[in-house]
Amino acid sequence: MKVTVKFYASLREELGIPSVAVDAENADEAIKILLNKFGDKFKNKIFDSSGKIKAYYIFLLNGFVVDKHNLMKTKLKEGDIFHIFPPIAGG
Amino acid sequence: MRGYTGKFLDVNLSSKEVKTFGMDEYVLKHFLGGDGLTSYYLYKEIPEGVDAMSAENVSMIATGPLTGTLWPTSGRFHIAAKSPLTGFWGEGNCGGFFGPEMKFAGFDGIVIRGKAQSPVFIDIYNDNVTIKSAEHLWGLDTYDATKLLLGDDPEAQVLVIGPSGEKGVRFSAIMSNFYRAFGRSGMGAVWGSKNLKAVRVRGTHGVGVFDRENFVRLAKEAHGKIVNDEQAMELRKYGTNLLVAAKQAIGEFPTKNHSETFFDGASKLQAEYLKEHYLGTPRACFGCSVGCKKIYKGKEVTIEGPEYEGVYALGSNLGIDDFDFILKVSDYANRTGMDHISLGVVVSFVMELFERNVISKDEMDGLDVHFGDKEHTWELIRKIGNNEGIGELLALGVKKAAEKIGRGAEKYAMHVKGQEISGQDGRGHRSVALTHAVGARGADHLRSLVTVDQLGYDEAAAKRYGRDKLPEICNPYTEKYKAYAVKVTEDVFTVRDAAIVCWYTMGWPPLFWVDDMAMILPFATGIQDFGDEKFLMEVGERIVNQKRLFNLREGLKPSDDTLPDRFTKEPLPKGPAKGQVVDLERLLNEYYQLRGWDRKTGKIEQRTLQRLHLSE
Repeated sequence: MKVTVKFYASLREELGIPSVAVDAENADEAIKILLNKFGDKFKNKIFDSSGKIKAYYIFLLNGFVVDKHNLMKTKLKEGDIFHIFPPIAGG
Repeated sequence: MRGYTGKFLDVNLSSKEVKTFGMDEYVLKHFLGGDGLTSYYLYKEIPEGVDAMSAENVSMIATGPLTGTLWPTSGRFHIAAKSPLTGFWGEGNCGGFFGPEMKFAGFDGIVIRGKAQSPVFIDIYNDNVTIKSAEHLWGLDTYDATKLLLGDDPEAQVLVIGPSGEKGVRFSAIMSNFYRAFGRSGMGAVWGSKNLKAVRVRGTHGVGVFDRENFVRLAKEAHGKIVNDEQAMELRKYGTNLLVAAKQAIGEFPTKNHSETFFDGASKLQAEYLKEHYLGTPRACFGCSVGCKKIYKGKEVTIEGPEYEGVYALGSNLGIDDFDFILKVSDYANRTGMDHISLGVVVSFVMELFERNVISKDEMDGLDVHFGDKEHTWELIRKIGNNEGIGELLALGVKKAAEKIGRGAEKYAMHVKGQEISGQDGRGHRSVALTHAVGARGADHLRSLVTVDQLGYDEAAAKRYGRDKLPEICNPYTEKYKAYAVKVTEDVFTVRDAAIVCWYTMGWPPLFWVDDMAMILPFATGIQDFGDEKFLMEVGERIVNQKRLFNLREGLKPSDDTLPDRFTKEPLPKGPAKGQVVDLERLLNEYYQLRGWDRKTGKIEQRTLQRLHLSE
């Protein structure tokens, strides 16, 4: 499934692009593709030293919050938008 | 007792009498500072039913025991009075440097009462307090007035109102350091009605703490925690406009008078775009290691801000995606001294009325104000700042303007209790529906904003509210557990605003919470009860209820804890929250029960008053 992954704030700055197209069946696969594509730049922003996705990083699929602990369960559809935000909240 | 200076200044502008007084230890212990001391003191001092724009209204500035200390983000200070916008409790909380400077001068706060016969400013240099003529400042914008006052003493700190406050615009702000504001609920209009243009303060003392060694140790650790925190790093780099993209993505970016929550022009307002095209150089308040403020360099003006709320109110809310225009309006609002949120919402209100043919071009002084229009919008905004023509009507705020217009205009007036709604939407972020509805000062996001149901912080939700409330508490589209989250958060944030520290270390995801306050406050003050989290939470609860007592005395009814029909009856037209409306009745029923308030009368139940040691 071809989906668009959008990056924001310092993650966008680190990767040097605002978005990328990936072909993946689920969110876990999409993250693995991004790890391969961007290497440590991506890994160091998203994962902590124990290999877990950092608390407060936000994954959204078409605007809905994704369960970071069960990425394989998040199935992707053609044309989906997958957002990755660094920690942020408020109003 | 330390952390406090032990003295409040009491200035009567009618009699020109200047006194000092102290709060006794019982009051400090039960109301802590800032938000708490203003709620306690003004309930006693403001007579029931008083005209908010009269000499009988009392304006009070207050700091907390952490203000001006080494604890991070301790530059904040509080102001309160009866609001001329709502007729209920009014307050603001401001960053910058004035609060610490006031403590360095030896004062925990200033009570301002009466009305001067002609324009004045209050000049404070340590114990030396004088009421001086402000004839030369009256009519000047806030930038020019501040520069003149700093010309005499560049080391001083200044609070000042602009021409809109002088002319009685009901949502006038009090400005500090040019760009920082007590923006909401019309505190600047109160000063204008008293002929008070400014307060200038300079102090040469320090702020003592009870246990210096432990206080410094914890403060140092706290600064380190902020410096290394990723959320703080993002705020330092991009500021609060980071929220634009996130809220657009989740469908909570209020657009065109809250008729939608998805703005087609959002990409030109999001933080990454602003950083690339307008620089966004960081600035910080006193003692802050976050540094969330940004200096934006535009085509016409270079100013600090606007932040997310200004970008929402003057941008998406008006259907405008031109940040240069937003900068120009923000600069004008700063100079004239108007709240960005209320200003934006009165303009969007009249835009919607005009597009729906509820109001005619003649009634609009010939202005053709549509969503997205800039030329006529600019003229309209200048009329509001000058309180003239159609601007005179809108300067009353949307509630009163809608009542005067009639013809069903109330339906498009986005307010609660008379205060214009901030940049959230409960249809796509359920807890904030209740936050807006029950705020003592009207539609407010800062007093109890819960964001676990906005961006899904399940770890934070489990830690702060209990794992048993997952997953519903993080679901933006259900009412379940939202009243509990709002109540708890409101109590914690009230402690925050009494201590006082900034939202951006005790917001979400929280760097510090009430347990951190329980660690530091005994070292600051020597009051050991502050070391008990339960005691502190009860302090927060007491302050919320003290403000409720004020509002009840002013005639508040349960029907005032409400939302415009748009949020409860108009399903969102698009975006992730498409089709959503708020079940406000359920939220209110649960919230009233948790608070110990009577659902039929809105009053505080006797057992609640007794438990909190409050009396009517």
